[in-house]
Amino acid sequence: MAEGTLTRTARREHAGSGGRMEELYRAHAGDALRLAYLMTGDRSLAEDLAQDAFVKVFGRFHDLRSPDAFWWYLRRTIVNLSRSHFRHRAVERSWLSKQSADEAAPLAPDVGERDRMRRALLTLRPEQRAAIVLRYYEDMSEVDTAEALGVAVGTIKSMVSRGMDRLREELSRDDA
Amino acid sequence: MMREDEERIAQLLRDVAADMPADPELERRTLRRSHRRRVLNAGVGAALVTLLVAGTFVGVRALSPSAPTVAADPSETPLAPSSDVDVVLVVQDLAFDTDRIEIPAGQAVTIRLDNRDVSVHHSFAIYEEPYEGFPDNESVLFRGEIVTGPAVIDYHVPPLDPGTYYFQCDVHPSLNGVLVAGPLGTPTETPPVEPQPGLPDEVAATRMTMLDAVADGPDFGALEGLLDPMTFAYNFDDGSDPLPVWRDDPSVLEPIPQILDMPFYVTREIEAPDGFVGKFYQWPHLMEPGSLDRVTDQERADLAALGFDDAEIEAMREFGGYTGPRLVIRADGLWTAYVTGGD
Repeated sequence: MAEGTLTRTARREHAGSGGRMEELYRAHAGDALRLAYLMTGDRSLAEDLAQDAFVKVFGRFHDLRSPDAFWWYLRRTIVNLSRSHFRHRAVERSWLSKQSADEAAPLAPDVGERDRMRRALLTLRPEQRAAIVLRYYEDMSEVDTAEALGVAVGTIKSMVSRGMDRLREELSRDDA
Repeated sequence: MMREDEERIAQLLRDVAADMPADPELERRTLRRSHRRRVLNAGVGAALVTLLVAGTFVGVRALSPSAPTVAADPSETPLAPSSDVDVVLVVQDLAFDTDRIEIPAGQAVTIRLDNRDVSVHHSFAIYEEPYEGFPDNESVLFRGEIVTGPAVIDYHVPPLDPGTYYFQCDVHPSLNGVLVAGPLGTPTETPPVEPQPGLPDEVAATRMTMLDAVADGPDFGALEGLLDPMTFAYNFDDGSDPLPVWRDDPSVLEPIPQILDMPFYVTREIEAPDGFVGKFYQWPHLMEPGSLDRVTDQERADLAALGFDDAEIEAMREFGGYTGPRLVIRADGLWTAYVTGGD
């Protein structure tokens, strides 16, 4: 099977057989970048964040032969770094201003709904966005999401519920 | 089973994510930085712990109990430490004799560098953060002059706030370690181990074991028996098993007695990934959802006791929940989480 047709899980398993840093990077870079992009909504920021996450996990993770654990820690690190980034409200405000300016950029016709979703995501608070992304993009359970974000399961339920309400509202407004 | 609109959101998330292309240049940059970081870490791990305690100053000690401590042979020590020297750091064969130093916080200390490498330059510097390549001028707290071996130099380090710092030889940054400034020489006041009413026996037993284990310096073996490293949740990017991280920096365990002494919050029954179904006991009680919607005087006092000021409390309220140190034991007694802060 060609590398490009492997599922995400299969690619992670495949990477573990070699256990080398380069293989792990190539197996997870795409997933890491996409997750970072969902968490930040900004391509260059996502690249910086993914790079920092790889460096941190490679530096700390002494046994590179455990591919499942590697992705688990990489994912948590990406989430954590994005939260740290957005914790600085001033930076976030500045970034949102930049995003508003970027919205004037022309979009390809077939990405309308995708772009509405991207903008709707940006209306969520960073913690809500993280909860939604982990639950519905990474398909994590509420318990795992709570652990990953370091909050109580009840808090996750509340954040996801409110976040989904907000997304529905934003998307239905655009649909209208 | 996802509802229809949840499926739609999930699909839209996948669509948005697909908009992020990979960058080959990013791979090269990331791997280069990662190689450097791993080489650095390997250098730290290889260093032997051999710290000479000067005179009667008992507050300076090596922190790694499992590492060999070599008694100093006076005949091999070119310059015996005087009573004015708090720490002697030997560098020989391009290696420090320790990767951990502990000094008292809030006091000036004298650190003696004994450079035994003939015709080799070495130095001693302290930073707030591990370096990312070249020495970071922004986070430097102390930088001593470079000496060519064989030579001995005394560095007079100004008082440091309590905390964990990073030291290195600026000439050879791969020679480095952790410097901990703490309240040494005075016994730490440990809250008495008291049972808390309302806990199931299994949870109470884990709590008491945990308090005993951290009372007089961490008993890592006891802590290890309370958790499953594969599922345990702790500060996010610190490795696969919390024990090595805690051994590296035992100070992260210091809040445990204080938060376990606070009231707890009990969740409703939850199904865990391993099939366990039951309640989770969370300390402190501030973990309860909505508890900070309106911060009561008692909650404010509890948060202040944990070291949070009004601005940080307001940030938590805005965030929608408590983000300080927290600990979770589930109803069967398994310790499932310990997070010391937002990061």
